[in-house]
Amino acid sequence: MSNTNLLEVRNASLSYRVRQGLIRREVKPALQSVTFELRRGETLGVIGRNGSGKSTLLRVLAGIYPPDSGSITTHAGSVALMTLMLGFDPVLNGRDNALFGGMLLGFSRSEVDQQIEAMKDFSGLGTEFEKPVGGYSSGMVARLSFSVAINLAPDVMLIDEVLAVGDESFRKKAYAAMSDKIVSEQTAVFVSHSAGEVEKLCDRVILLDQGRVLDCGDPASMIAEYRRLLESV
Amino acid sequence: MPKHRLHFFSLLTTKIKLNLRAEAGRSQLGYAWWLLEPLLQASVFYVVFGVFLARTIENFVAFLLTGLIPWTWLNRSIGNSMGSLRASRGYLANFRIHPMFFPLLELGQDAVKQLFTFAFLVLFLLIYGINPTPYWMLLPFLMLLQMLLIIPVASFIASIIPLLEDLAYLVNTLLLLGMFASGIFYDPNVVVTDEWRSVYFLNPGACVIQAYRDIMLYARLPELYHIAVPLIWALFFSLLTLVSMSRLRRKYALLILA
Repeated sequence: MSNTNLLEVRNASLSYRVRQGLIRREVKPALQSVTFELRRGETLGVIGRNGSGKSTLLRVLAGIYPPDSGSITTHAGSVALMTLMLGFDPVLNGRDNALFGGMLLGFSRSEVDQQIEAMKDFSGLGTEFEKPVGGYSSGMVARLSFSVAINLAPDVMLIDEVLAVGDESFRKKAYAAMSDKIVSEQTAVFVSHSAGEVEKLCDRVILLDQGRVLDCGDPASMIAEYRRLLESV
Repeated sequence: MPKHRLHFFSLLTTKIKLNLRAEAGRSQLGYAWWLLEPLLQASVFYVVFGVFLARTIENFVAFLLTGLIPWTWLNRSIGNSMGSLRASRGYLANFRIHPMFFPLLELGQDAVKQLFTFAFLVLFLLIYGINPTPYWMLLPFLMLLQMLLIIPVASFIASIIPLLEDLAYLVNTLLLLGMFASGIFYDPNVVVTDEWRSVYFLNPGACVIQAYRDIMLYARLPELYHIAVPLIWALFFSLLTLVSMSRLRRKYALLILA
């Protein structure tokens, strides 16, 4: 297999089993026979309606959910999911959460320590960075988690709606930082509802529907197909 | 050691330190509570059993504390780690992390605080007038033995609770039974009849407590039986945990969300 592919997904399927009673479980298919590859240096967009399996796909790629069948082959050293919900602990302050959050993404303590002042600066939290996260607004939490993610670079970044962050000015800053990163040969899979962001940032786009890959191609044509899909329901 | 394992331990020790620091930071007296809490408990027992009630066992408060402190450690560790996987669903859903991290985090924090409690116990026994003997030097080994028992038992319970939530009630009842069947409030060598004593001491909690009393109060080596029984239980639960973790490890994120 060529190592220009950092991730190779072959016929990956996954169902959720939702408990309905003592024994009974309802099976909800979330991904059905998904196949694609992620090339080194590209930004792959994933679009689709709510419940189409986008977030599940990212979790399967990150190795958090094992697929029921099919395979995920990784040629990358590190693959990390950058989510807005960076599992912050409300009793710890921003600095400690940034340290632990970064380590949870797979980076060593010293790697995170080196970046922690950059995270503080980027977040614009100032002295709040040293206070417990329990007292943060949701916008502040989002700033902190974005700052942690953007200052650490795994080989493959899996990005879940990260750009819907905080207030207007921080959103611009986040967007600029993300664009820089993506232009600089960062390999990324990017889930978003915003057609504009997908079109600008992505090299290639996958359209998911009901857990299946409906189509894959250049951003403009995939977005047009997505719009037709939305209008048809 | 492989890199991912080193990272796991580094993550674990970092989080234990951060959590303990945050916990201490929440109260005005901070770290002092790790000594004050057992001191207050001991004061209550001293007033109730040392002053108000007639003493049936010599040095009853010392006898009680050498049983109660190890028992509280076991009880707290199992209780705190039991729901740790469900409580960590946010982490499990977003990060690739070994599920054992969460019970071990609770057990690690409890163990650090327990060091202070045992330091308090030693101080208390000295003040109470118990003569120190060379056997007291075995205390760290007994604590290690107890830790070896707690980790697999608590981890196994934590690993199957997400599958069988109802088990939590049963565990609480068993812990209550354990409290009364471990000889905290009475001397099993006096109360339990000879024919039942070896069965009684199949309870690893009772063995550990007896061993603590042997070295701290009675100036003698623990019996081999009282060391072997907890070790056998520890081995048994380690195997169970290995089996449950190898089968469920990658499924927790899905199981807990379902």
